[in-house]
Amino acid sequence: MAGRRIPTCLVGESVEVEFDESVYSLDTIQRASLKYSDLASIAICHSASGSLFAKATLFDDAGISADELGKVLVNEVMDQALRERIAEQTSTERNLILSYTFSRSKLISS
Amino acid sequence: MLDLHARASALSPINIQGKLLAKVTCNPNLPAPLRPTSAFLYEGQCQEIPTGFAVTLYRNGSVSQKTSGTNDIELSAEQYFLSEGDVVRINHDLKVSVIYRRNASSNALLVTEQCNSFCVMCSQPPKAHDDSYLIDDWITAIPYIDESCPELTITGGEPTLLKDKFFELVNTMRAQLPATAVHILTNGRNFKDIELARRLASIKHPDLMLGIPLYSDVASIHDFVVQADGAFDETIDGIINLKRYEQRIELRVVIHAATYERLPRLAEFIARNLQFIDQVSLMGLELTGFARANLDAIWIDPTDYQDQLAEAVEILVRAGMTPIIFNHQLCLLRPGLRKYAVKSISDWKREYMPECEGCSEAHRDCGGFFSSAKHRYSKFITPIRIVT
Amino acid sequence: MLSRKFKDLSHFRQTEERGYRLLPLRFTALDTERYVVSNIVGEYLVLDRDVIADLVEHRLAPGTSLYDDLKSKHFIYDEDSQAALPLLGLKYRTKLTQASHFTGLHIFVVTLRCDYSCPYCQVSRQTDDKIAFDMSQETADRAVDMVFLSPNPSIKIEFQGGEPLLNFPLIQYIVGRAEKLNETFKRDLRFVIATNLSFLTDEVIEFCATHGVDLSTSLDGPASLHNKNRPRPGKNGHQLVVENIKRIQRRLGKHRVSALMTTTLESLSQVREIIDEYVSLQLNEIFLRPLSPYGFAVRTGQIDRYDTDRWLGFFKDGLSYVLELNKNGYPIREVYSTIVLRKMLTPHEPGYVDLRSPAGIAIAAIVYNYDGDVYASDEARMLAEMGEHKFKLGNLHRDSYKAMLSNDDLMDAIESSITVSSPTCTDCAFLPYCGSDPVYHFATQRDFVGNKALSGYCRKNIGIFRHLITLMEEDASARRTLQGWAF
Repeated sequence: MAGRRIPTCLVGESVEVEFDESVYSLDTIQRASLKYSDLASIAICHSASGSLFAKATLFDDAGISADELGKVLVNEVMDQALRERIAEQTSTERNLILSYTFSRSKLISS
Repeated sequence: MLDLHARASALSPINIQGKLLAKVTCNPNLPAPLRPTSAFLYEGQCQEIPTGFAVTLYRNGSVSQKTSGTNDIELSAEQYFLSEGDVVRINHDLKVSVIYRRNASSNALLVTEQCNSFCVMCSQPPKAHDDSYLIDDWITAIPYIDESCPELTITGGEPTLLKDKFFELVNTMRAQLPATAVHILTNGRNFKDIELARRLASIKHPDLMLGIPLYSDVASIHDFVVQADGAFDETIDGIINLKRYEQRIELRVVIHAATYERLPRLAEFIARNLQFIDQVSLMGLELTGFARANLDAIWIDPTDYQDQLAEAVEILVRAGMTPIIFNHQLCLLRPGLRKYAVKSISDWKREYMPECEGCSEAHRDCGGFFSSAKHRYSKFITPIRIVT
Repeated sequence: MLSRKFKDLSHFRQTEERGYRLLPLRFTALDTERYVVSNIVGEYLVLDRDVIADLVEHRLAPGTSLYDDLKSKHFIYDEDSQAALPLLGLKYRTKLTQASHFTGLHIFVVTLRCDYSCPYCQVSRQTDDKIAFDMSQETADRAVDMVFLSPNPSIKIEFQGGEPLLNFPLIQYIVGRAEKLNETFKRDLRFVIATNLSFLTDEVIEFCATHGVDLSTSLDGPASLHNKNRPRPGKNGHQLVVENIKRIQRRLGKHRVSALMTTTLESLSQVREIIDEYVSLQLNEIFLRPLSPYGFAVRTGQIDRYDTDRWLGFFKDGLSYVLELNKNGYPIREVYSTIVLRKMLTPHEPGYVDLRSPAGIAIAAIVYNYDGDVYASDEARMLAEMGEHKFKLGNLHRDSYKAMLSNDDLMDAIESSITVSSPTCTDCAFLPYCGSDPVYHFATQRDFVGNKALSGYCRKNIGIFRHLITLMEEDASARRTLQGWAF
């Protein structure tokens, strides 16, 4: 039976992006990187100085340049950070809404 | 215009303690047990004036020179319309109030003038005085009304302020007039207390509809129109509670300068959040009460909001909801919207303007104007002529 | 100005000056400049990226129509009003109610025998051996019993095959038995036969008339395409289908027969011709179906991104043509778009099996195979034909209803298919419109959830959502037509 997608060429162009760990967490960068797993293999490491960086190596059929991927990755990390802020700010409301949804009060038939 | 309240004059000694209720009849042979709660209307149909009636009514009575001997009164000319089946309340000082008309297109029960809102366009401005006699009178009057009466409207002020008496009235109507549909005009706010919704549902009235105003999709704008902080939230809570108890709800929107711009957004809000309600009524302004006082601030020519109205109607129709347009002259509505309009101005308030001369729709499908419209109405009134 | 006793609007706006709180919301790029922001029930707005940053950082000022729209559509709330919370709770409940009804679609594979030999078909057999490949009456009895164990107030029984009309007597038997049982259960019961129409006799038409049975057939496009996709001895498949569609329309009525296409690589360059074929038969619905991955991807392990993008081109071109037809007075809707639009624009949940979270396997649709095996979906059956039995729930002759529906693999698949807790899906603005397809992801990635960046299902759906939203933003006439489909 078939396995996971095997990229046809591992060693293409690569790009490194550094992130300030006090602003962007490892989790944030991982979630952002996941979106591009069809275009590049992305490894996240700590540099000698302690900051986080993502090394993205493009697959040869990615269809974009390493530079472009770097930019897109940075944007996605910023978006992801924004999403995390939203999740933090709205967890109370989410629970309240769900408690209304699943409450045992009489249903309204529509 | 017809006058529902006018003073009559005495044609014989008057013996009325406080006030009395009576059902009008033209039948001189009405069985005796029914006469003390009836008013005989003399129209020349008999030689002798029958006795035993609570009052006897005359048009131009001084001419006939015949009376029953007591409680004979001559109606003022504005009340000559009285006829069989109407119900009157007559005070000791001969103020005659026609509280129910069998031939009226609609009959309303004003149960209080108190209100917990203060709408900028209110046609029945709230008064703070104790008017609890009003609902007591209505509870007593219900048995006088024809069982065949198709519909009655409970209005105010805010009827739910009367609490127990309000429920007593609705229950009385269920018991005495089981075939009569009841339309309750309420701002819905007190139903934020779910117990009130439960109480209303427990009456099990067979044909009840609550008409509740909602003026905007944005709470602060709605609160502004009704001049009460927090009213929007209370109204929404009330609507949800009422629906939990399966009550039928009509949302009412009065279109004026403060509400027309976001009308399509309100339609979307209703379609998305309140799709379980039963009807949406889009209403033109009635220029009495506060609407007159605030006229300059809230007037907008209906011609100027046809875009918003058309979009709102389209949104509601598409969502499967029934929009009905009230109180708009047909010539001001786009042709595509006219089929949603109904002739809704009570006949005693309805008039036409000079510009209507020659219109094929006047007196037919067009609802005309409120009498109060003479203070201001659209510059664009144009007769619709059938092209042959 | 208002008379003295009245306060003006600014008085009532005061509480809005004290700041706002966010309600749960998601955002995803629509294109290079704009984003789609959606709430938990899928109400959306299209905003620029910097407006979203302002929104999240609480820099938006009240009293603007943007602020009012965000409040009204339940993206934010403030001290002025908390009505958003119970309303969102109610709306979310409305969307979820559909799922609580449980299995509504019951597919009966009454035979594997078929007169066609379509290359993409996984299941049919060209054979006359009725004993080996027809469903028996005993199996049918057990299956019908199981149908009514589902609590759904609406039940649809769909006959498939092979070619189901080759076992027409059993169809008659099953309809009769279901109608009898329904006298007790009193559901909204409907029947449809998915058939190639080769064996459409007068007897069959009469039966459908009497019992209100609908017919669904395959029409892949004009003759050359259809016959190439769907070869038949005599090579007259297209002609037979067209004649019989017309026959059903005449005898039973226009709305009693519908057609579906199967999209192959050959179809991709002929979308307008395919749609014209539907129009020529006065059909008012077309379902631009995706390429089925099962043959290609499952065998080779390749998800071809190129093919998904080519298919999206096919879809967009087809949709554009459909909208043009509408503009020119011919009412026709694209079915998948209609389902998606209903999720986007209405309070309701259409319940389409392939766009559900949790996934529709077993809990929305179920398949009773000719041999008594029970599968969680049609695709699950296809997978089994190719050797993968992961989604087989059991057998009617051996296992109880309870055992089959609490099968461990099924439970795992359903649980993991809840998109709000799937990586990537959980952040996606399009989540309220999308679903899960654990069978697809298992077939292509050996994982119920899969990596969505590698998923053709995800790529296709996001492409469709973006396209529909963009159309509605930019083309007023298209927006009106699309809105009309949703309701």
